[in-house]
Amino acid sequence: MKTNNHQLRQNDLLSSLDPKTRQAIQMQAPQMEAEMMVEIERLQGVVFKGVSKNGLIMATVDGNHQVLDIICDPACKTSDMSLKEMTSYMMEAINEAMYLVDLNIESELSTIQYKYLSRIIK
Amino acid sequence: MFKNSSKVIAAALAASKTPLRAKLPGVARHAGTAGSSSYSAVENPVFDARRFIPGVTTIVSALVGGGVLYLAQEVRKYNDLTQDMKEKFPLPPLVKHHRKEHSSEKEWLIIGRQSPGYALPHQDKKDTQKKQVDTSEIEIKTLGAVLDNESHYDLLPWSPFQIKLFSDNPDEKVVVIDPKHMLGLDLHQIPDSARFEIGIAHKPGFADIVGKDSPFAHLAMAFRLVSDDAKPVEGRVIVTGAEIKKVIKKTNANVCEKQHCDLYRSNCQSASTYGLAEFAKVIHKRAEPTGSETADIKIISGELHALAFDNLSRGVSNNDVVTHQLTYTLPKVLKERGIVALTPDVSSEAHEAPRI
Repeated sequence: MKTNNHQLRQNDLLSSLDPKTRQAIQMQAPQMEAEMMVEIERLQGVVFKGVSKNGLIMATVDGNHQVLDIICDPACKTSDMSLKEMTSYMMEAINEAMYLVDLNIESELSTIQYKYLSRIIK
Repeated sequence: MFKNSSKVIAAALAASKTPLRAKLPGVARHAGTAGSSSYSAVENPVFDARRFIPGVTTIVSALVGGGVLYLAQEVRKYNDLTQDMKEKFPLPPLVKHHRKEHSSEKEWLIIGRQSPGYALPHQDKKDTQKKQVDTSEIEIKTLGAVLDNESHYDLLPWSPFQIKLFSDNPDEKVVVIDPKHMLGLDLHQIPDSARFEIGIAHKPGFADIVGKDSPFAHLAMAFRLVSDDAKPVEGRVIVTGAEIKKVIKKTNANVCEKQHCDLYRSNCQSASTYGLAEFAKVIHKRAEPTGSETADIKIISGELHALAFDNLSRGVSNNDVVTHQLTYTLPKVLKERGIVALTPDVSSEAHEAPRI
């Protein structure tokens, strides 16, 4: 059903555009998808690091949003932070790394989309 | 890894059932931004930041075969906006050429939307904001940035602001200004009774990295202070400090604070375009009219013609809140002022504002 809706919406939109634009879209779209796929593959291997507010915890996350590592500074041992505080700082570090992943993906893929859209609109 | 599309889609579906970020604080706010209440998967089949939340693999399912729909949708929105503005707006002033001159006076106030990450240190309130961001405060980064005075920020420092004041004079020059010419006023410090000429500021971004065709440019609202004893230049649009504050408050409420500043769907152009259209509304309802209101509104709406399509209309034609402002709210003002004829869809009471 979802595929049908997608197809209907697509046909409806395409039929409202002039033939030249329609042709340009059909030619550019596969190239755009291919370029985005390559970028996605690349982004999966990119690693992002997030640090907690107190700077004692660092989380490493890959482009697939998998947490690869969490490193606690040796100072954690000597500090008087509670277990609850510790987990809160871990969350901060992970959130920061996740945010960087999202931002990077969003930025890279949007740049590709912008490039192809500009070819059609111009 | 992702050679077989059916495996990819299966993996994407599996990944979407384990949204790691959804378990973490700050995620809900990040996910629920950008005028998204009326946003559906069909509207942006290729790319939606929220699809990234479960993982990169999820994007792939949206990507395969979604390109045609995405491009068709964006082109259609762009065409619709072009058509709407052609029908509902007066023509922009015919500019003969854009001669440039350099400012020599400290008289410029530039208010734009930008990431708190650009805040310069040692600027009192701004310094606090920068410290909060620098300490990995995800909630601040994921909120839309507010409109603020550019002189507090080190934004794209390698290019100057180029300002075009709104005017009916086709010979109006573009003014190039440096930070030293900017007034360092916070919003609350602008005197209500002060008079400002209004315009748009343009700042090329990252041109040193991506070349002169960089799609990135920063847009902001520009105001030139008219001193008490000076006579305003004829043909320019004058607003008061109180009106500036009113417009910025509304723009912050409807664009900056509600939408994630993601550069493509909601950005500095969204805020500037929305804000400038809001000026037309504020001028229209001015309690003590000066007699220039109709001419001023006509000039502003004419300038919005060009502004709306700058940067491929990213942040305008693909932003429901801004599009609504341009194609419904502003045309109503134009009609009430007798500037343009009202088209049926504008007069319809059934026209709903986008939910934000």
